[in-house]
Amino acid sequence: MLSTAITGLQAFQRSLETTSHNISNVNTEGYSRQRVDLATSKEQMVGSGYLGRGVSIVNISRSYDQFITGQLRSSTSAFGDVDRYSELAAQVDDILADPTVGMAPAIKNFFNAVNDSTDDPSSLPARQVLLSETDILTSRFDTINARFKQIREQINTDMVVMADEITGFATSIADLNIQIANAQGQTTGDQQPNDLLDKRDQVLNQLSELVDISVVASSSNMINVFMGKGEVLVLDGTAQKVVTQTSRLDSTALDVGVETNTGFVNVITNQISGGALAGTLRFRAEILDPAQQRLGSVAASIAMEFNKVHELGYDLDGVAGGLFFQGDGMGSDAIPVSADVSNSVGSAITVMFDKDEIANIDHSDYTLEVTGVTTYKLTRELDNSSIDLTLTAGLLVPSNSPTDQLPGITITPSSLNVGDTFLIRPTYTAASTIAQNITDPREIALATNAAVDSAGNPYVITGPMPGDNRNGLDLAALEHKKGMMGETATFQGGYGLVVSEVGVLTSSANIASAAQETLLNNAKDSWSNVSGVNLDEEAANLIKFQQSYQAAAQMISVSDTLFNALIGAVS
Amino acid sequence: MRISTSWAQQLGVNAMNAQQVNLSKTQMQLSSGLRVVTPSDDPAASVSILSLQESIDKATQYQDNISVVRARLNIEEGSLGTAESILFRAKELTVQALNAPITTNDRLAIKSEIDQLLEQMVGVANTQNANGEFIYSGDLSTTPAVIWDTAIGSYVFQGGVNPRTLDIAAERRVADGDLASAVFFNIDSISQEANTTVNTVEVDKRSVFDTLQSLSKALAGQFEVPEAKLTGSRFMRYGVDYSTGGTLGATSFSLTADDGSGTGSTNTVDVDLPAVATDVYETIDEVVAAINLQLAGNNMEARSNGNQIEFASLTKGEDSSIEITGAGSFLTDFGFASGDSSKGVDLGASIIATKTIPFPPTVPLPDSLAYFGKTAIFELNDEAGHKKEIVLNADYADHTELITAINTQITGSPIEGKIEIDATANPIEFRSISSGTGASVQIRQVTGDFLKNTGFESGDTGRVFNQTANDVLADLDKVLDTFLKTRTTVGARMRALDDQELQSEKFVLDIKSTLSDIKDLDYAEAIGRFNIEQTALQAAQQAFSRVQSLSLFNFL
Repeated sequence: MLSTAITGLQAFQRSLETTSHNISNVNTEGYSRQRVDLATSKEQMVGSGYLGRGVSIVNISRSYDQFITGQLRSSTSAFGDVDRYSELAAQVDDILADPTVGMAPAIKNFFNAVNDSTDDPSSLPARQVLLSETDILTSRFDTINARFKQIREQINTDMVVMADEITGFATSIADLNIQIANAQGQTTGDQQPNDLLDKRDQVLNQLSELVDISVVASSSNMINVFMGKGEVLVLDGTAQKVVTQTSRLDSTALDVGVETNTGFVNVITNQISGGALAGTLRFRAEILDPAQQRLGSVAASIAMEFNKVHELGYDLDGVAGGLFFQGDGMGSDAIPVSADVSNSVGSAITVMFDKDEIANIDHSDYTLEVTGVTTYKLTRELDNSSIDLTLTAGLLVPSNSPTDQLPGITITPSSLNVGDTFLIRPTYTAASTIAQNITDPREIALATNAAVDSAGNPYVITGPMPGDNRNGLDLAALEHKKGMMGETATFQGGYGLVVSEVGVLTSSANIASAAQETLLNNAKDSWSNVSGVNLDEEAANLIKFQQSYQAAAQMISVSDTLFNALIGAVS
Repeated sequence: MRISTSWAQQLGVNAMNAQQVNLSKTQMQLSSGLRVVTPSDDPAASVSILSLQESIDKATQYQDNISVVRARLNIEEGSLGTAESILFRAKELTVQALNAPITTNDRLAIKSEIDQLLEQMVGVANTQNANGEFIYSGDLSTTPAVIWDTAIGSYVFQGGVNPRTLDIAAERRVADGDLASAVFFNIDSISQEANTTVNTVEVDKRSVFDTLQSLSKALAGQFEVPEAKLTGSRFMRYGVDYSTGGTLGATSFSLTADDGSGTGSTNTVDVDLPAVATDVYETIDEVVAAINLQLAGNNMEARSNGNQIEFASLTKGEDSSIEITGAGSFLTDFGFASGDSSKGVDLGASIIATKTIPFPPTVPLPDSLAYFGKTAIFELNDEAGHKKEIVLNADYADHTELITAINTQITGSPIEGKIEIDATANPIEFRSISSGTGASVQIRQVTGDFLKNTGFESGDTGRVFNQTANDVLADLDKVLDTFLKTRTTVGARMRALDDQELQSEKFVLDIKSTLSDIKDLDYAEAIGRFNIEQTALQAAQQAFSRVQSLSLFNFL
């Protein structure tokens, strides 16, 4: 009887300890409540029947549902993705909503100044105001672009931090794998190192916030973790190192990769599909880069259209108008082009905006490939459509013109060889490099100097006509010209598109984020229903086990009394 | 069903957070007064807002332009009013000058006032606006419209080529002024002083300044006889580059003018430009100088009126002629056509019959044209004492025979070269063809019906001074017409401005109202919403604190 009671005492003591462990860990993240599994001890045959021998502890197990835990992980990934995406999108949204930074008033004030100096072409003060407004306009483009650049740098820093964190988590998981395997080795059968398992699940959860993972069971209760579309992260006890490196074709962007032990980095940027890392990469590709390029296309269109009309006119001294705006591709500087590292030595292309095709300026990236000795292919990255080009009079032009058209650019090749590839981002730097080219108000070309003689023949006057404002009228009319997007939008319309694209994407990201958050909460709900600690329940258990212990202790005291009675009867 | 303690708490916190987010968003809306705070709040609306704002700004800019144009047109209208009053005074003075008898002192007094009026008129033509621009100079607005050219001896137009226009609406441009060349110059004239033929077409136009100047001179006893003159139609103020290094290269042309002898023979000069191979002519005066070097001694000259080049014969009067020919670029560059020619006219007084003589004569004639048997004799004389009696004593079948008969008698008489009969005019015109101050022609009755047939009165005299002054009077009326016409167009333009302004105002008002509907916050709705959300937050907070205090451990 004593030993039976002692089994009870031991069992209830363990139960109380386990309940105490649960209560202490009520706020521990990822902790699954544990219970002591009791079973009767092996019964003994005692003549008249089988006599129970008490209780034995079979296992201390955790309340755990494999499916729900998996569900929680994937919800965490999905939410991490859209949450980070909508956070970053809101930043860009706020930039464009800020009335002090907005382009719309800057464009309006610029054209107002054009109008005012057209009303008064001989007035130097009015011209000076126009130059000031031009400066404000170009600075405004630059300011917005600089904010974009800030966000881009912030993203890059975040990506470095995330890569380190992922590597850290992977290393923890590998270590935990080894510890769990060791612990598992010391047991027989079902006993599991519960706390280690909880800890590993917790690290997996944190990892899935950053990147989507899939978990496959391995031997000895170890797990293998794969990232994205199948890149190995943890194999039993070894973890890979996740790093970032500068993108091959865009020096301002980072790629994510896995470093092998030879030092080679396997780039996996396109294979990541969940978690904050995916959200960040998606933001960059869907919102940040297109917003910068759309803004650039507005800047490029204004500059090219204005320059085109300005060069037709004459200034206050009767000199023909020069370039009004400067910038990459707009004046003397070419659009920066990235050459693939494997290109032949000395091969290069010069890309400028085409002043006869300004309406075709497009915000996508383009890849130029030399496919043959005289054949070239230009691919539009946004939709992967491509056109063929041939070399005519020193320029690359569409073979199938006019059905195919270049996106408002001219391409001049030099020493190209088969296999050379270039990345062209025509409007990427337009907003940051647009600048005014004129500093002397007398050089603004507001006159056309055009006249018609009595026979009806037109001719050009070769000296200053200070009161002639006809070129100014043409410049002012540009404000309402539908010169963008294939001649369907004005400059303000083009800028409006930047704002609305970001607004739409941010708005739908917010909605997606709210939806995912609900799903995540549901998963957390299910998980905590199964595995969470309820203090009231533990309090009730405390009472229960306490009473059981007291009862079992009482059993010992009874057994002691019986023994004393027996001894007393004998002596 | 169970729930873990930490999750239960988290649910409460989540609920409070959600309410706070809503409340804070409504607070942003209330403090900014905008319904759409960031584009993501309503992307479609934010684009509409941008484009509506654009429409308003466009219309507002046009309103500004309208104010500018209106101010300038007001100045122009004012100046035309001043010009008209100058004209009225000039007319009064002209009538006064025509009223005989008038002493030399009176004439000189009138002359000095006419000179002042002339200067005032020049001042009006050179009116400046608030910016210092000359309103009648068009696109050469920093140069006065009218200046005195000593070489030509009159006021010339120095302004630009086109009036300036401003946009008052999309596709609607209004000129903010007129060129002096259309208002003060090129006015129809009946005076022979303005009479030149260009390409055998009579061009009778002169400026109001020339009109007043001719009166002023006539009062001093001076009379202008026009010479043959060709003017290029292109604005070449800034010269031309004919140097061998330039884009145009060398050119040449020929000028033929009368030689000044009155016999009809001519001089021709082939002009080569450049005079020096590297000559770049920076102004029109340099071109003129280079041409004149080659024309010297050939009875012709080149000159410029500041903007255009002119070629003129040095002879004045009917004998003067000039022609330009050539195939080179000079003609098109300066605005001539090959073969352009001009002839001068003589200035003189004339008397014109008031009745037309019908030919062939109707039978029976009330007054017989058969002067045979009823001889008619009349005398023609000029006041310098040359006279001749003309005798008509045959049956004249037609006008030509009558004129021939008169001409035969003039030839060889003392009045030959002083008085002539117009070869074709019917009614008959007798003209003085000398251009001295005493040039005059008078007809006197001797006997017979000739004067009765033609309506002349005996003693009818044509004097150059009267002719000139009468021409001036008629021309001043034409000037007045031009001024009135210009004022009418100015008035029409101003009405167009008013119309457009009204339309735009209405448009802006409509758009602003639409914009407000989209952009601005409905305060009533927002405040109501704010209250509800505030209550919801408070309820969530209270519920949270109540639930937190419940625990079994409190009862153990």
